[in-house]
Amino acid sequence: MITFFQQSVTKTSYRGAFTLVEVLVVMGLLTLLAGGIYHFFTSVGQTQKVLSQQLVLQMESRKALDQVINRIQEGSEVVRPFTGETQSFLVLKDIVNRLSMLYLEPNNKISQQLQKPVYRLVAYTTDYTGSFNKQNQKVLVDLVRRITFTSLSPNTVQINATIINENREYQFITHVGLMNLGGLEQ
Amino acid sequence: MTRKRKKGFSLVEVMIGVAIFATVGVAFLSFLSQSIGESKFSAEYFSAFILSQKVMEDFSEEIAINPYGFETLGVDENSTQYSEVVDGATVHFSGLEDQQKPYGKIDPGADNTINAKVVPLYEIVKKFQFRAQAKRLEKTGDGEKRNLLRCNLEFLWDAKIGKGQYETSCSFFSPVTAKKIDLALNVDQAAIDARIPKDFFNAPGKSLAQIANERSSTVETVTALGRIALVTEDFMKSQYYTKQMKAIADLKKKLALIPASQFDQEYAVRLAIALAWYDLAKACYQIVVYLEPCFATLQSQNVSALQTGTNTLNPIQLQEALFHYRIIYEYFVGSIVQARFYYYALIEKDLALYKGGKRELQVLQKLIDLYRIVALLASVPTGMDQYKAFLGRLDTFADGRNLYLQRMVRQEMIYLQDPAVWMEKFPNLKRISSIVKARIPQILAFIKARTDDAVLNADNSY
Repeated sequence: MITFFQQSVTKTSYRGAFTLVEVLVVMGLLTLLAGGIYHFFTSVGQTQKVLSQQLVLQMESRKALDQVINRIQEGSEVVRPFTGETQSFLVLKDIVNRLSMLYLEPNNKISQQLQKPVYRLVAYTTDYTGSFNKQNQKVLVDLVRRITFTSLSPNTVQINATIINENREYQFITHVGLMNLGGLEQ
Repeated sequence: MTRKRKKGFSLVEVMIGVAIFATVGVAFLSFLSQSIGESKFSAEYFSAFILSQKVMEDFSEEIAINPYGFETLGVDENSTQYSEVVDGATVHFSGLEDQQKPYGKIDPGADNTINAKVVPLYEIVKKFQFRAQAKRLEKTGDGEKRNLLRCNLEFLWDAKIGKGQYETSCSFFSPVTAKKIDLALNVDQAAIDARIPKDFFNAPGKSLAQIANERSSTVETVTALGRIALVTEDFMKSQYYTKQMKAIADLKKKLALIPASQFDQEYAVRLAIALAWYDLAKACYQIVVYLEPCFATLQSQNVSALQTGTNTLNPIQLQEALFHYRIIYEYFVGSIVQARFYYYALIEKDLALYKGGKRELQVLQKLIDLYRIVALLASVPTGMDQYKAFLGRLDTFADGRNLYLQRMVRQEMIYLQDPAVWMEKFPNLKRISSIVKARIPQILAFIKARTDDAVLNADNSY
C-alpha cells in the first residue's frame, strides 16, 4: 500500500502540472512574446499608416502641382517676381494681356485643426471691367504650408512648395515654362 | 497513463505547429514588408518624376537661349558622372530661392541649395543621384536632324525593393546649321541680262556675245559688269529704297515729338525705326551677296579691256556701276549699326520696365545677333571690341537675375577666344564672314583700282 502510494505519488509528481516557477517563467515569456508581437504589429500598422498618408499626400501634391502648372502655363510672361527675385505670390500676363495672380489666403479651419499656419493658393484673373469678379477667383490648392515663386528668367517660374496633410508634409520643387509666343516682332 | 498521453502534445506535433505558425507568420511579414517596400518605392518614384520635370524644364530654358546649352552645362552623349541632387552639387538644384541679401539677386552658391536645413525636401531627395546625356541626331552636316537633340535623364537611388531607377527622355530643337536661303530668288536674273545691251552698253539689238567681241572681252565679263550696274542702279532708284528712307525720316520726326512719359508710343516708334533699318540692311546685304560672284568674274578677267577698242565704255559709267555697289555695301553697314542703335534704345531702363522682362530678353537676343554681325565687318574695326564690351555688360546684367543668359554669355566669351571655333559654332556668321570679312575688302580694293584706272585712262585720252 505504502509502496503503491509512494509509486502513485511518484508517478503523479512526474506527470502532473507545472510548478509555479515554470508557470511564471512561461507566463513571463508569453507576455514578452505577446508584447513583442503587439509592438511589431503596431509598428507595422503605424508605418503603413504613415506610408499611406504619404502616398495620399503625394497624390494630393501631384494634383496641386498639375493645377498650378496648368495655370502658370496659360501665362505668357512673368510680371512679378522680377527675375532673380523670390516671392510668395506670382503675377502673370497672358496672351490677351490679362493679369493673373496666384497668392496665399489663410485656411483658418485647417490651421486650427493642425495648430499651425496653413494656406490656400488662390488664382485670380483680371478681366476688363476693372472691378473684382468672384467668378474669376479659383482655389488651386487647399493645404499649402509654404510656397514660393522664383523667377530665373522672364519665361519660367521655379516653384518651391510644401503641401500639408494631417501633420505630414511633402515638399517639392519644380520649374514651369510659360507659353511660348515666339520672338520679337521683326 | 493512456489518458495522460492524450492531454498534451508530442514534440513532433508542437514542432509542426510551430513550423506552420512560423511559415504563416513569415509569409505575412513578408507580405507586409513587400507592401511597405512598394509604398516607399512608389513615393520615391514619384519624387524622381518631379525632379526629372525640373531638370527637363531647366534644359528647355537653357536651349531656348543658347543652342549650345548642353555643351555649356557639360552634358553630352558620353557623360557618365552622376550628380547628387542635394548640397548644391549641380546647377539644377541650386539657387532655388532668393533668400539672402542682396535681394533680387540669386547667388547659386549661397541662396538655398537643398541642404539639411531645407525640410522635409532634403530627407525626401537626399538619396537621389542623376545623370543627363544628350546627343545630336546628326553630328555633322547641315541636315535638319543636326538641329535636334535627344536628351536622356536617369535618376538612381538606393531602393529597398526593386531597382531605384527612373529614366525619361526628351527631344530639343537647337538650331546650329546655316539657314537655308537662296538670295538669288529675289532677282529676276534673265530680265536683268536681257536689259544689259541696251541699258548699260547702249547697244540695243546686240547680243552680249557681240558686245563682248567688240570689246575684246568675254560674255562672262560683260554680263557681270552689266548685272552689277543694273542691279545696283535699280536698287538705288527703287521705290523700296526711297520709301524706306522716307519712312525712317518720318519716324524720326515722330519720335522727336513724343513726350518722355509716353513709353508705349516711344517704344513702338523706336522699334519701328529699328525694324526699318534692319529691313534695309537685309535688302542691301542681299544685293551685296548676289553680286559678289560678278566681282569674282571681273577680278579674274581683264576688265580694263572694256576701256579699249572701238566701242569703249564711258569711264564715268564704269565708275558709277562699281561705286553703286560700294554705296550699297556702306548702306548695309550703316543700316546694321543704326538698327543696333535703335534696338539698344529699347533696353533703356524705363522702356524695358514698361514692356517687361520677356520683351527685354528678346531685344537682348536680337542685339547679340547684331553685335555679332558688326563684329565681322572689316569696315568697323572696333566691332569685335564693341561686342566683347557688350557681352561684359550683359554678364553683369544677368548676374543673379538670369543664370541661363549668364551661362550663355560666358560660353560665348570662351568661343570668342578662338575666332575659328566661334565661326564653326555659328555657320550663319561664318557665311556672312565669308562675304563681309573675306571678300568685301578685296572687292573694295578692286573697285578703287578699277575706277582709278578708268579715270586715269579717260584723262590720258583727252
